[in-house]
Amino acid sequence: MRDRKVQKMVTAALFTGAAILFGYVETLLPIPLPVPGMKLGLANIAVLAVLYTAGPGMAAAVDLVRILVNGLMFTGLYGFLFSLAGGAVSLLIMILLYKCGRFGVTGVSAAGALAHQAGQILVAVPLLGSEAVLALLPVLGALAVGTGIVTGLTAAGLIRHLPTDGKV
Amino acid sequence: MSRKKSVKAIKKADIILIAILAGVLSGFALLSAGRQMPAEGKSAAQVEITLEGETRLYPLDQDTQFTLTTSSGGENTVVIKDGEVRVTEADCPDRICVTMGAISRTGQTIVCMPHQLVIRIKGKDQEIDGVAQ
Repeated sequence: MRDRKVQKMVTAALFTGAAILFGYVETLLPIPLPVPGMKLGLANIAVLAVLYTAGPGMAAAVDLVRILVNGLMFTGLYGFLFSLAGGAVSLLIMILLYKCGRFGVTGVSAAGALAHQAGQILVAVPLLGSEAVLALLPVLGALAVGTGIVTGLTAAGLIRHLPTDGKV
Repeated sequence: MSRKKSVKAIKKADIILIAILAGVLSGFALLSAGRQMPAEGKSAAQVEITLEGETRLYPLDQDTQFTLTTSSGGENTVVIKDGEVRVTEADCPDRICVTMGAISRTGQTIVCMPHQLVIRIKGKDQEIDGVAQ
């Protein structure tokens, strides 16, 4: 019993570390993207991997800790609020689609990426005191779906090489 | 090692889902494009600048340039020239506001999320337009 608990903790810690690192590495890579500020969402690869190998509970835990640590280390309060809103909506959508079982990793990832963007924009409305931000949704949303497909395919490749019971 | 469960990278349902998402987004894009119109009689058009919840208005037809400073010391330089507004410089991390370029039509916006800045062009037909607060 105790061993399983320890194993779970170690798995969670490992994936959380990977998720934080993915997010950090992304800010260092000078990848030419069509829109500055647009992100590839590499951290979602780790979150997807946890979701498919250790289940929704672990995925939620890993993602929330990732957002908290990122907020403390890099992004500050507003960045934290934005990513928390995005992360929560995205997690919810991804878990629902995953549970539903009809979708592959790519669909879950694309919908999750869009939900992330939509969540951020929705929280921006009260924060900025203007609903004009909503006008950003089509462009940023389309980009999110695109990057979501890419990270989804990448995550699927990774998941195939991981055992499915969360034991790494 | 555990049993191999097949994890599909992409299923038919994914393609349908992505197509639906793309459709909804295009709908949104058309909707917001439909709201924009040339700022006719530019003398009436105003530039509404909301910084950290505080709103100020500037006439669109008077060329001017100024720097906005947020409470945390962030800066955005706004230029109003020839009936167009643009952010020419900013020290926000993503600089989306700068790359958004110039806006000149009613309903168009420039947004700088990190600095809580929204710049929008308001026309005299604002009420009829129904883009209500």
